[in-house]
Amino acid sequence: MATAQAPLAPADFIRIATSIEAEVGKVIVGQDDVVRGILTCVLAGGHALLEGVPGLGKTMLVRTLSDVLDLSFSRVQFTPDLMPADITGTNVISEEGAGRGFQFQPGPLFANLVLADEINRATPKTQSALLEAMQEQRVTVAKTSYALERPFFVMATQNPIEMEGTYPLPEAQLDRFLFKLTVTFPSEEDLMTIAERTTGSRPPRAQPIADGATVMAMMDLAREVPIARPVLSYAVRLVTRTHPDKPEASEAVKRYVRYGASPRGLQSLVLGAKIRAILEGRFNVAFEDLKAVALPSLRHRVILNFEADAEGITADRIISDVLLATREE
Amino acid sequence: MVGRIVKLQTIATWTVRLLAFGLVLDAIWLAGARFFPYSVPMPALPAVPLALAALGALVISFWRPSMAHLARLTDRQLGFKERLTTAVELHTAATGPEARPLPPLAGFQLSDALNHLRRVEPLEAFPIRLRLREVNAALAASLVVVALAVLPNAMQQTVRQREQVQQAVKLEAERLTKAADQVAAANAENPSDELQGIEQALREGAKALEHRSASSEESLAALAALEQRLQALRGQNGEDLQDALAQLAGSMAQDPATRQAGTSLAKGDYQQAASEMRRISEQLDSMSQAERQRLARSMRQAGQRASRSNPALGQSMQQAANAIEQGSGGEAQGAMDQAASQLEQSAGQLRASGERDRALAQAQQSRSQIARSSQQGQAQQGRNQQGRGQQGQAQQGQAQQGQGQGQGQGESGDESGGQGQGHGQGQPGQGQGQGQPGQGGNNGGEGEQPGGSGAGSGSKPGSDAIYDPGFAAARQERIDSGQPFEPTDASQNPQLEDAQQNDARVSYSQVYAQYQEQAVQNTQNAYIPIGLKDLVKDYFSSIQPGQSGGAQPAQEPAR
Repeated sequence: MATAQAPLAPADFIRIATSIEAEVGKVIVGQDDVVRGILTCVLAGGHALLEGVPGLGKTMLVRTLSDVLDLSFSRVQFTPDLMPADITGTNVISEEGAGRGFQFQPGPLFANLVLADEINRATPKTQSALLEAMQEQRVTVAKTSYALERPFFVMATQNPIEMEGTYPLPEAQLDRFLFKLTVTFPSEEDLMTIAERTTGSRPPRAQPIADGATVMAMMDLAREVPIARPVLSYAVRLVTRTHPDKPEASEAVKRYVRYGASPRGLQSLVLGAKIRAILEGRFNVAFEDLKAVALPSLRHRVILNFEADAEGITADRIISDVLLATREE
Repeated sequence: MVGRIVKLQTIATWTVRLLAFGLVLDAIWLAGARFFPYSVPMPALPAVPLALAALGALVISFWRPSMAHLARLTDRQLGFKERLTTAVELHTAATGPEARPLPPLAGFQLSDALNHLRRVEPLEAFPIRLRLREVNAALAASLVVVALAVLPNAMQQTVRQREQVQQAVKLEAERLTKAADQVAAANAENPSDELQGIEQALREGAKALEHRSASSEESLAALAALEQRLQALRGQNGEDLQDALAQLAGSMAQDPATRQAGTSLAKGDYQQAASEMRRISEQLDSMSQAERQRLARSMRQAGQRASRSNPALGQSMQQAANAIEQGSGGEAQGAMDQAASQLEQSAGQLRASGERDRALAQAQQSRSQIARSSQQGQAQQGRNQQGRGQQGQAQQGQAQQGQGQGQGQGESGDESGGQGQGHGQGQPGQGQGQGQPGQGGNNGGEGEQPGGSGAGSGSKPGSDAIYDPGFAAARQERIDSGQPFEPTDASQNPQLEDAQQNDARVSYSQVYAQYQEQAVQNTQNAYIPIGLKDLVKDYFSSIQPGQSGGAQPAQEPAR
């Protein structure tokens, strides 16, 4: 458990956050939005789901982040035969003193930063084993609950669902992720930089910038960013309008959306906007902050119907429509 | 400072908006006047938008924008990213009635917001400018209003007609009231139930006119009801009594002794006549026997003639004659006094009858005036529509022929109403034209000749008869004397000369049926003695086309 630290000054927050981004940027070329999104998730105390085709550096990004944050790190490669006990831990018989007894052997979840690599390759049963850990930050094995060390972050990567051998994450599982970040293919310029950096004799290596206590202090400070009522009202309206049964929903939402964003979506939206505001050097949430984090906050919470699948309508497009249709005031 | 600027900007914006809204209302008002018969007072057109704009500016001047509103406005205008909005909320939360501790970042936030606000010059940040959308809307609406106000409106004729009718009805209501006052004055001098009934009928008729001034038909119906009511009050006694007194006056005027009484009676001065009879009775004793006999004969003769119409008066006159003839001085004097009293009593009855006749005449005159006013309006409207149609035809023909054409048409504002029209076409040096006889018009008015280089002329149908009510009486004298009526005599009426000189004419046969029908209709609707109705019928029979002595058109017009 990270030790408590004195309240952080806003300037320090900005300085540290900027340093983290810069340090990660030494290893990860391009993907600035993804890096910002990951950092936002960390500072918000949430979990991130990174989606992208294999080979785009998703695992490398999380690993680099763990290096920069100087946190305990574990990686779980999800496969179809992975069992829940493989990630939560299990009781094993051990020789202790006078006799034998069961002793809990912690799984890879017992780390500050857990990389759930290719999470959609595991069966839903195993995927759901993460639910309690992500929400309650504890693990229950054989009727015994074990608290996870704070800060606790799950950074999951997944391949697009269209790829073979993947299992779509359950909605309840998806809802636990603060952001769903889409990792796109880098530009040619970024590819050249990647090639130069990674094929040399001395590949770049990130240095630790902050420890767990600093991250906790940054998390506390980020939550203090005030948000005005009109801005909060706008966030609420954004979430409300993703629901097809609401009268104010747009035609696209009514036609293509099966379920709208949950209240967790609103929490993600506001929390992400607060982090973004302070990272931008502002001490209040603006409308543009909400707009900037609307896609990663809501895209995995808006469940589309079959008609949308058939017509190739994505959640991103629906959310963009909602953003266009919702007036700020 | 920002608040004042925002208020000024709001006033400017809403003033233009309300101006545009007022102009739209004007446009709707004017457009409605093209479909419904009401008039739009031109001075009120600018008053509506100006009043709305002034009212809006006044209301906004009392409006005090809240700090939160100003903050949101400033954030949006200056791109402060909700700094001021948040700062105002934090400040309100810290200083309001339910003050709560501020979050740790609140101080930074307030400081940040103030720093941003200090960098701004209010007048530069909030330049007072009119929004283009509202200005364009106001301009477009004003153009529509001007177009609607300037373009001719056919419905205005209907409105004018209504106004004329209303004015006429109002005037006639006043006249009826005045007539009722006169009857009331007469009733005050010599009270009678009959006068009171006449006064009441007149007042109720005037009241009905005032209430029904919107419709000529209703007013005419009210006046017809009044006439019927007055007719019901009119009995046979009145005419009989008048005949009796007239005969009495004639008889008495033949004798020198009673001539003065007869003259007064003929003049309608019944009091004087009664006084003269009393004077004669006082002088009976000084009269010779021959004079007494002559007086008795005259009185008996007068009594006999009066008894046919008024037995009571005739009997009293004959009793006086018998008393004079028998030579009984006191008895004769008493009989003469009784005859004088009977004469005064009859005069009182006659006065009531006269008042009733006057009231009836007034009601008839009022009905006639209102009906004429209504017909004038309809005729004017019809002429305008006809004129527009002819002008359209002429312009079409002009485009097809490609030759110079001229056309003149006009209208007369005279009460008799009329229309003259003509059409000419040709080339320079070679003029030809056609025309129609003028149709009841006193003056053809002015005409337009758009783009015509040719000269047009029409034949002048001077021999066509044009009906003139004032001319009918003179013509009747000729009919009575057996002389055939010559339509050329119409030119003796100076009012018709202008119409005859006008190039615009319609055929005689066309107008004959129209005027005959109108005249017959009027004789049926209005109260006209039977003899005069026949006079009208005879007149139209005498001028019927195709009959000998009737008017014949000199030349049928070519259209």
